Amino acid sequence: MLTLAMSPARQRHFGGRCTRRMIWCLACVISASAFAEESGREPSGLGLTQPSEGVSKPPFVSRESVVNLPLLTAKTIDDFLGRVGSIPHSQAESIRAAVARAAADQAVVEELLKRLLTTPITDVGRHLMILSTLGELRNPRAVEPLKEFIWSDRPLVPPQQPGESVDTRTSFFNHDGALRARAAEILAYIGGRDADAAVLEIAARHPGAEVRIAAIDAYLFNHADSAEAKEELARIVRAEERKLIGIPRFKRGMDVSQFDQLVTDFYRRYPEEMPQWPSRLEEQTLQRTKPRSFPERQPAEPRR
Amino acid sequence: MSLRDIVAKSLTGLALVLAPHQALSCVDGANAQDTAVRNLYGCWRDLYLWVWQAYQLTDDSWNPAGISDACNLALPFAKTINGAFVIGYTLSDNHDRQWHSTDDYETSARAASNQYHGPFYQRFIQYNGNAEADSEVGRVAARDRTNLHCPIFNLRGPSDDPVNRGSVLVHESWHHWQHKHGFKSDHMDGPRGACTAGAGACDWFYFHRVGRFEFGQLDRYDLDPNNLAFHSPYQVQSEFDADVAELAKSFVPVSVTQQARFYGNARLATQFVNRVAYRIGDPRPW
Repeated sequence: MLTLAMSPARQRHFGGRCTRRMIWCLACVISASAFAEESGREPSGLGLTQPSEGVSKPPFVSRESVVNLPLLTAKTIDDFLGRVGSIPHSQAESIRAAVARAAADQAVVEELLKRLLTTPITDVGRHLMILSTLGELRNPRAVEPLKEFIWSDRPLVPPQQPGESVDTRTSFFNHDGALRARAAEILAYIGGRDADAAVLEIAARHPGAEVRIAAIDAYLFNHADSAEAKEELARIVRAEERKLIGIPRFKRGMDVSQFDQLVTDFYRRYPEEMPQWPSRLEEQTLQRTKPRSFPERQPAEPRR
Repeated sequence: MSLRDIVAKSLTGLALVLAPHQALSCVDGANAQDTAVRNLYGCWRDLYLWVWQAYQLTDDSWNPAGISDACNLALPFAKTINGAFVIGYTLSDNHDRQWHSTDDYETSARAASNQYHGPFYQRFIQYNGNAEADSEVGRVAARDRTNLHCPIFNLRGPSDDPVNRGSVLVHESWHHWQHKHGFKSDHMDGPRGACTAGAGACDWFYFHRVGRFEFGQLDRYDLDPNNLAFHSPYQVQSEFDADVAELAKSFVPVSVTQQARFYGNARLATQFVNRVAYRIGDPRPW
């Protein structure tokens, strides 16, 4: 921090000339501060680069990292949960194998359940890892705590402050419902009579739409998308959600034309689910841009 | 008080104002997801300089948010770099299956004037309400801008996630697309129809076939009643989530693909007024 302590002798020595210099200096600093308000600093303050167009994106050479997972035990759970998310998704099989080695260890399940039910949740990502690990263990002991988690009448995630009003071009997300939805998928994956009954009840009666829809999809997935499972769901879910039984899944191994056809058929069958036409700006604020026509993707043509 | 005293005190005050800002903003710190993504590329000067320029993180709102400590993942600036990395480097660009290409999402999210939108810049705002971000369009005699709020940076906050941050950048850029192309850019208030979200958090969903938009053509639209092709902000965000969840490159951490699916499916179920007729991925643990 700049200090200006001067002895009386020095003050006399510099006198008015120094004061003038200081005023000049002050003017320079004020000019600099005005500039600083308009444009921020350069990252890390290195060099003199200023933002400009045409800077090329740096190329990235990817490398698959090797993450060593600890043996999953009651004592190593936190270490395991901290590392498991770093495993490349292409190596998910190694996670399944690591979890499978702990399948007979009841203490692991108990410790995971203890962490699952510790709310309010302060790390959503870690909770997703807890849920996935519980699901992979497929231990029926997890059914009741998962039901408790899904139906809890307390908020799972601390409610955010309301804050000041913002305009309507915003981005929001409800983590509480999304976590319960994921837990419903895990419950369905654990399976068994109790879990199945619980999933059906969630699909029918849970107050969260994302939770009900996740339960419908997960119940079908774990019953091989069978006609019987669809009929069972059709009997219990809300009338307006029957149409969502059996909607396709967008996934890496999908048959694209079948996926397209199923979704297109849905909107033909339920025209009430078609969107409203996009709303135009008022004429006086309209920036005139003409829509550009565009050809569809050609699937057979090799590229890239 | 003498002139000298006044000058001395003013200079001291200014020195305090201009001294390097404390690197404190929101709730600082890096979680496991951010760390997993950062470990893919480390402290990469070329990347943060490029993102700084391409995404225009250039106004002084970034001064207390880590711009002078660009590799400090505890701070919003480095976290925004992480979000931009997810947009720019994680997709496999599977031409047959992906909704849109890396180039599509990235060109939209970038701030320069292009076929998607006019020029804008991104501000960091120490706002702790519910909204993760918002966009200001049609400003008079000033550049449009996107405001990134504390919820997407707060350690132990539910929105503090690199995939979510990337998808928010894509989402907000789409408001600028709407404005440039003459469409209303407001969300609708919920609950309404199938949208169970609250005020200013609902959109329409305009389904298109996977191959409807050639790579490089996300900016286009077609209002032909028999061939409607259009995107709302939550739609383009969900399509990005779906692409990251299911079609990421092999090195991408499982926490990234899981979070993308988590966000994408919840948005599909709750943030559209009409129902969305698909889910992202298989509902299995890993």
